Amino acid sequence: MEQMMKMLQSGKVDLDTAIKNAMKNVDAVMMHYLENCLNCGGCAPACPFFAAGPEYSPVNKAEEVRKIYRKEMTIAGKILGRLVGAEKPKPEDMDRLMELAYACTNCGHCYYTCMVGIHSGKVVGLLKSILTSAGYVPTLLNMFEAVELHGMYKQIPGIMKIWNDALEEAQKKYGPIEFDKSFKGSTDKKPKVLFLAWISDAMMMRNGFIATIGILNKLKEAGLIDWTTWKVPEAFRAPISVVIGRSANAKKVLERVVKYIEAISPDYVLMMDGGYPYPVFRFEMYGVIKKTVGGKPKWKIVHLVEFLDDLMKEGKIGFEQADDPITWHDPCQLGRHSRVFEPPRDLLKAASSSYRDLPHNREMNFCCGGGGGIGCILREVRITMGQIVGMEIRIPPKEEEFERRVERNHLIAVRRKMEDVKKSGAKIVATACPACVETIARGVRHYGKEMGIEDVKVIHISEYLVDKLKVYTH
Amino acid sequence: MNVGGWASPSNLLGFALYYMLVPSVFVFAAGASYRIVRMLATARFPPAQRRPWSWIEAIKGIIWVFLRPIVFVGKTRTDDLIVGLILLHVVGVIPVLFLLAQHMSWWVYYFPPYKYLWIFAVPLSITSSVLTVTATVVPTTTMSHVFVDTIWGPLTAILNGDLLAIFVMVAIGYKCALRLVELITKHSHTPRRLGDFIAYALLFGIIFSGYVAARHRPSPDVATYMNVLGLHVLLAEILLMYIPFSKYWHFVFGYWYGKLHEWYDTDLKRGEAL
Ligand code: SF4
Ligand code: SF4
Repeated sequence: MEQMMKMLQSGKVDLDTAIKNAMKNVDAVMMHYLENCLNCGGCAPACPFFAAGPEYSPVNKAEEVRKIYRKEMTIAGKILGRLVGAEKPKPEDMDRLMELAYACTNCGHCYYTCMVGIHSGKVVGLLKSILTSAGYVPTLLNMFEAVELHGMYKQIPGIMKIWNDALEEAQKKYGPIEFDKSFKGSTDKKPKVLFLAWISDAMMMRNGFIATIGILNKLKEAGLIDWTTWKVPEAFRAPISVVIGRSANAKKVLERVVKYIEAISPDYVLMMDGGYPYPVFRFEMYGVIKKTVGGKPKWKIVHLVEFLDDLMKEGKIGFEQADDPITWHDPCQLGRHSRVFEPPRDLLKAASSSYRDLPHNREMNFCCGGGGGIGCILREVRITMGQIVGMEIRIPPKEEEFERRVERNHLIAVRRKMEDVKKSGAKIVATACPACVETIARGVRHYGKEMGIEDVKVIHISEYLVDKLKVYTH
Repeated sequence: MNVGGWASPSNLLGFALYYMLVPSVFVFAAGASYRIVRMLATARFPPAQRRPWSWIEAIKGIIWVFLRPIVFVGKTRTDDLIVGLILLHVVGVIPVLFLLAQHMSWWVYYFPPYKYLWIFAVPLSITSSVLTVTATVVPTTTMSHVFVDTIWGPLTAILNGDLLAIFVMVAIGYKCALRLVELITKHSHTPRRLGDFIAYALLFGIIFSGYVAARHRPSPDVATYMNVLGLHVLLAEILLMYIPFSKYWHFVFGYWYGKLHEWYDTDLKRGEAL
């Protein structure tokens, strides 16, 4: 624990240096986000946290970074200061800034609804990176990051037990897995898939994780694909560092994972997680991948739903159709940030004649409010994690207060999602992101009775598809 | 006040037209270049594993990039759609600035090809009068109260300088009042920015002085007219200089860049996984 605490503190700098470092990373796009806001407030109703108070509107949160930017980077700001809204935060502002920074899931709804295309979530991301490097970061996220960065989860029996138990159950149910199988030099024509599974998949979407293995094994048995996964993962949920804005660490973890992928040499790198890892690998940090590989990688990054949808369109698979009232919640990172909208719908429509969309869907989907690390810094998660790692995770009283406010905002944020679920009449909400699964399930527990939706099940999409999957071997 | 003739700096119109125009255009150009060069200097093109895209999807995408926020604001904040977008922009500043006959003749003077848009000229008033002598519209009857004949037909009831100016002033008044109430009640979903009030005040000053000048008020003598019109032009020049350093930059660059970037980022780079 002591060693971990030391690691957590390493790299901490004073606030001024943190600001200067962050400002060095302001590129043309961020400059647009910071300088071109009209202050129209059009983005406010898009934000899941706006219901918790007007101070949480995207533009209000982003303004905290704009103040810093004006003071640090503009002539008017340096000369006129507060008169033109230029100001650096003072120590007494830090608690408030933490609360604002952790009332944003980087869902991108404000981006799609802004008159001038400003992504306030990315601006809040910059605020997080300033706070983190100045040492203001929620303990649990800091711990998760250290655990992933230094591979410490491999030494924590509680974590590895969850992973290994899930693998064992999957193999019992769906047959053996060939771990760490390298496809280098293979002349087999079948698509070779590396299932990039995270520990978080086994921990937070256990049934979906097992079902995904089931799907992959069914495809393999029918001779459609060959696949493998790692026996011991190279990351917890790579790269956790992006959630707290430590891009240098994110790069390190990504490089480690990419090296593993290169050693396996698959055609497809497949994820079942539709949270941040997908757009980070595919779009946002693809440059790191190219650098590590030394050119364009030969493998493609796909999400399970895209992969299955392609197979279905090629006539290689189908589904036995049931009639469960099921809906799809677009994880913001898979939907708005990666624009994978239709494949999960195609699959669910094939598997259930009673599929229906939520009233707010695709680009206009309501974020559940659990991303951006928010779903991981709740008290219940802290207690559960303490049980898993075998020690009580204590936080200072001030942080407990912060935790309570995050919890309150989290519950307020998920409410409108629950109203959408109720309006849809669905009894099953399928999705593909652990934070969404946890958050919507929390919403069902909290609002279920009041809204009459206490029997709604929240699942990973694989859970619904696995038993209905039909593979055509003709 | 009006001594020394048209080109004299001793009347506001002469000062605005013959002394301030070039400096204001220069400040605007310098400011605009500064902002654009700064962005170009920090532009990056990070690689991504893109998806293939089709032109049809891309065209649909760009239409939605512009429409989506409008539909959203219409559903979530109807008052802002009516006041901010419709009154202030669509039937406000945009037609007044680009289509009002008086302004069009100004544009044509500096940019002759603009004359091809004459057909769309909007008259100053719904009825023809001495105030519209510079407009290219022809009165259709010889009645004492003649109506203006424009391409806009009955739409002239709305598309005339008088009404458009009133729309803009009402919209600015509403926006300022709303902002003040929010600030007083400390229940604001947008931050306090002094620049907003300066921007609104400047725009209000321009529209109001134009409106007053068009009516030859407060008194109909030439000297007053030249000073009021001069004030109108001078305020417009101040606004021109203010554009690169204020929220009005959206009109020249920010809005267009923002929407094109969003289109590139969401539709071309990430595409749609169909
Ligand atoms: S919608 Fe865009 S321009 Fe308007 S306040 Fe929000 S971020 Fe600023
Ligand atoms: S990204 Fe989402 S959560 Fe963050 S400010 Fe924008 S709308 Fe709110």
